[in-house]
Amino acid sequence: MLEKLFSPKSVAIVGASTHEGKIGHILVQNLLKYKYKGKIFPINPKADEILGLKVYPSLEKIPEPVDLVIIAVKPEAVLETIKVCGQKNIQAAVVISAGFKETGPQGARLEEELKRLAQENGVRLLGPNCVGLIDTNSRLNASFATGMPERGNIGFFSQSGAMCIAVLDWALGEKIGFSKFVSLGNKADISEIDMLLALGEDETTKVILGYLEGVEDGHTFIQVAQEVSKKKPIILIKAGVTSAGAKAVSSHTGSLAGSESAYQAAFKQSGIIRAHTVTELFNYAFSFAVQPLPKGPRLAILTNSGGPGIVAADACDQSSLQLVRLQARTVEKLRSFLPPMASFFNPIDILGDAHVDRYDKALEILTQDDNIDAILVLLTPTATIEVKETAEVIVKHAKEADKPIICSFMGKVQVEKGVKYLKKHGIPNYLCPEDAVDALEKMWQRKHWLSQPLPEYPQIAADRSRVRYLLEMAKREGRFHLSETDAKEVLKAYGFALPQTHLARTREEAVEAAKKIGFPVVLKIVSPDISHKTDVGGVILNLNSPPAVKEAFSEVMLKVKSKNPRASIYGVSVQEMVQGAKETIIGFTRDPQFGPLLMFGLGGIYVEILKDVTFRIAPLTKKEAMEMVREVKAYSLLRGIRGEPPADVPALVDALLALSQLALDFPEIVEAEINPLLVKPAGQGIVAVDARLSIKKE
Amino acid sequence: MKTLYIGSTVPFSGKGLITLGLGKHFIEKGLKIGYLKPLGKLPQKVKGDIVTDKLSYFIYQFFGLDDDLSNLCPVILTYELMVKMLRGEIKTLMPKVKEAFEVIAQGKDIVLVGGAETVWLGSFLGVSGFKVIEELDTKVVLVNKYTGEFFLDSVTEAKETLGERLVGIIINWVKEEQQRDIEELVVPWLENNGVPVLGIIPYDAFLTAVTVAELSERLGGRIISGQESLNNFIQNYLIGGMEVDKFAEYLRRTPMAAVIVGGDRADIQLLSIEEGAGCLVLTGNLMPNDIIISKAEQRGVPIILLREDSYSVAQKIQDIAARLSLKEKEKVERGLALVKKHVNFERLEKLL
Repeated sequence: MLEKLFSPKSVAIVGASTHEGKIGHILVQNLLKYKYKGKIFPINPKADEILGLKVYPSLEKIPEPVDLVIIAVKPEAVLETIKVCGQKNIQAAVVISAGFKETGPQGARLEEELKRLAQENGVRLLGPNCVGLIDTNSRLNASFATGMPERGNIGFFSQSGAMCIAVLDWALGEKIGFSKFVSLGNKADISEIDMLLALGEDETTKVILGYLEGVEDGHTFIQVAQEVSKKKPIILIKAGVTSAGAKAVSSHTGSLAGSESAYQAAFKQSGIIRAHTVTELFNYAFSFAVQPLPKGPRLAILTNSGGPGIVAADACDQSSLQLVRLQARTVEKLRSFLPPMASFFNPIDILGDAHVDRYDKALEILTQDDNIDAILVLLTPTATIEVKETAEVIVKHAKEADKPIICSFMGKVQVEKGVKYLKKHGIPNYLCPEDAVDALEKMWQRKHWLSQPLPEYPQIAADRSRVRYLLEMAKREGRFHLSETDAKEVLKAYGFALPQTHLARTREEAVEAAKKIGFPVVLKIVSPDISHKTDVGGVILNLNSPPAVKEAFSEVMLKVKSKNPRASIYGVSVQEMVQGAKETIIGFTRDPQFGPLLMFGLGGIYVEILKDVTFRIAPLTKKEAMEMVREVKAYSLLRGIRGEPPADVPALVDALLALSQLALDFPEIVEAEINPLLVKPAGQGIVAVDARLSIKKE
Repeated sequence: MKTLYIGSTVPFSGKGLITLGLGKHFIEKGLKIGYLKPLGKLPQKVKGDIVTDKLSYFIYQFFGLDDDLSNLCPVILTYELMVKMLRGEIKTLMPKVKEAFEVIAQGKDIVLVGGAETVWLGSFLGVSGFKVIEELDTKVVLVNKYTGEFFLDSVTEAKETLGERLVGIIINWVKEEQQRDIEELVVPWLENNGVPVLGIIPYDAFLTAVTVAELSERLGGRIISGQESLNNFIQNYLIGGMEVDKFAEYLRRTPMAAVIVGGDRADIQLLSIEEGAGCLVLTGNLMPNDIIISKAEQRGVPIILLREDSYSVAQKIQDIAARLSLKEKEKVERGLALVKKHVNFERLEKLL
């Protein structure tokens, strides 16, 4: 896939220039300087020779086949060039030129035209408005960036050209190797989805890194990422996650940044490892590029000083890794050669007076312990420790071990030689232990992700024709919000249980209704003008007797009138009081990029104040629905605390699955919220008390 | 010849639409109809330099009438007329009304008399609805939206004053949440008090919609994109002053929305364009980014640029939304379909 782009046998540069410093000149220069192996055809009607290469007046005049064309001319001329590509059967183009979508309506029209021409002429096109691309294996530097990274197994793509240039420069300094390096530009044709597919298939790429500002086709993105991430790790930065960042993305690229919740869900569901900073991006990349994945979450920490060991232990405790409890046999072996003051338990502290031999012996023992899945080696440059030799010892053990070993040699000057040696021999080293633990955790999460079976989507039985009818009626009458009655009927069709409810206009009717339902009951004001009934005293719970109902009726009326004198009132609804249940909220909205985004949280303050909610993109697997429930911080409330019975979590999971199905079955429902959804004690199911559904105008 | 006065005790209840619907019904039955509005408030100059009432002229044209236009609206309530009345320079206007009526009534099977805002309007001129009904000896249909106590009071008073002349009431603009109370409580009460209910017409938000072109004209704006979508209907208004995630929720819940937002809020603007808002109303005279304009062009979303701040614009829009305008064909057709479906013509004709 995209071979012509990455490993072309010949390259033409349209807009090649004789003037040093011009982009058209740098492009030719980079191809020569970094020893591109194929043929180079500079094109310029006014020149004969550039940097010793014969110049052709036009693409047509090149007597040989051309695999890739790099274009750096005015936008209008770019369009002409693409047409010629079609005639000459050139299948790949890198458009460096700016002046398209990013400049306004005129440019956007040009870009549409460019897209159409590329498609028509069978040209895969990178850019426009990009820095270009680098492939270290074919020695192709088709970019105007300065420098060429070393060969390596990290494939990198970026929506921002400037980010490309900066990362490249940094990588040169850090001596990080890359397989491919791609600037996507305006993404007229080749997008992040193509890159995932291409890098996924590329044998020289082991880890995929990317910088994203927005995704155009969220649905395909998730599907592709799900497949590719089963093969190799995908680590992405998604920029524009704050509202300030989102505004910047919007005015920079003309695309929506998308909601943070949707991206979070999409990344989780497709196994993408999310980096939040550029530092994290490369921290993770290091470890994934050189180390095997841990088989489990059990971590051993080896240190020559107490403080860093404790910091690492803290970080481990806050992660999904476990600080392994060493086997008695291992402890005995350690005790046999360490001084009595040393700590034989995890973290293993070999003390500040340690020489390299203590690291050597300890590592020998730890690498052989099957209960340990990963080892973190900490080193503080004390007076006694031989830094470089320790690095050598670590490399030696890492080669034989079948588990990841990563290091944090803390400091700068004293540890420099050791760190250099580690990096050169494929051992990641981090400035501080927390970063090391963070990277290891990501590796463990990936291992866990890989062990997951392929997603299975449960079939949900529902009375779809009933829902279709209700939606049709609403549409025909020009209603975009279903009435409460209709909304509840839709839910009923999808298997939701509803509370018994009766309308009462007088206190006598209220008592009658309560008797029919059975005590205790709830009274709620019925008024279209009041959206938050509780806030105005419009809801009274737990009414146990006829007199209580009568009194509550008057009270509700009174309170509502005094708080909101102009509200129209249409009576009071008398509802069955569901007892011993937990209040939750479930719902969905439609994300412009990713489609139906399901939401779950515990009712009351948990959602409104603590924002303790989780999101997933439909369709949901049973496992994902379960994760949604478990992920909220208040989950322990559902499990039951202080002797309360646990809530019916399986029924809650089924409710989420049913709602996910509803979202998929009826794309015209743009938003749904069941608030509250009461979850009764285990085995007793759920009750949807209040629901809101909105539909889209066709 | 029969005469039917179409009046209201609650202002802005949609008499114009009902008048169109009733007239259309009679015309389709082959009756020769006449129409006049004794008291108008919105002057418009029409052919032959005659000044008449704007809405009446629309109805006149819709019915395809050819009566002398000077009789269409004999009294137009202007500032000058008010002054003259207060100074006592005009004594009585009723003869003018009667004269116009008599000319129009000639050779007709039925004459529809359009009421003013309410049956009380024009009392100080001596041509209130009640007076006209009595003088012209007409039957009356009330067209009211339901407003709770005021509705109940005013209908009670109308019944007391009009007695047998009141042949019934059409309850217009009934919102979904009112329906149950109206059907179970109000209708039985009206029928028991001798006011036949001739129709309950559901609220249709589309009838309050205006086109982008009209909105821009009334707001005094400049259109900078989406020329081909100026006939988009706007039915709701949103102010984009919050965070983009929150706003997305509102936008999704609100169809056919005009989004009022500052020129510098690229995020809200883009979201609105992507979600297919009816139009953008940009305040503060801030030109948006080129990239926004090109997106809007692409998606066919009109952008109206205004000088005023968002608050003033919102105030103006309230006035626009309060009155139903019957300019556009789609709206008239939709309204007439509602009248046809929900008015009990058979019962009305029996009572006439």
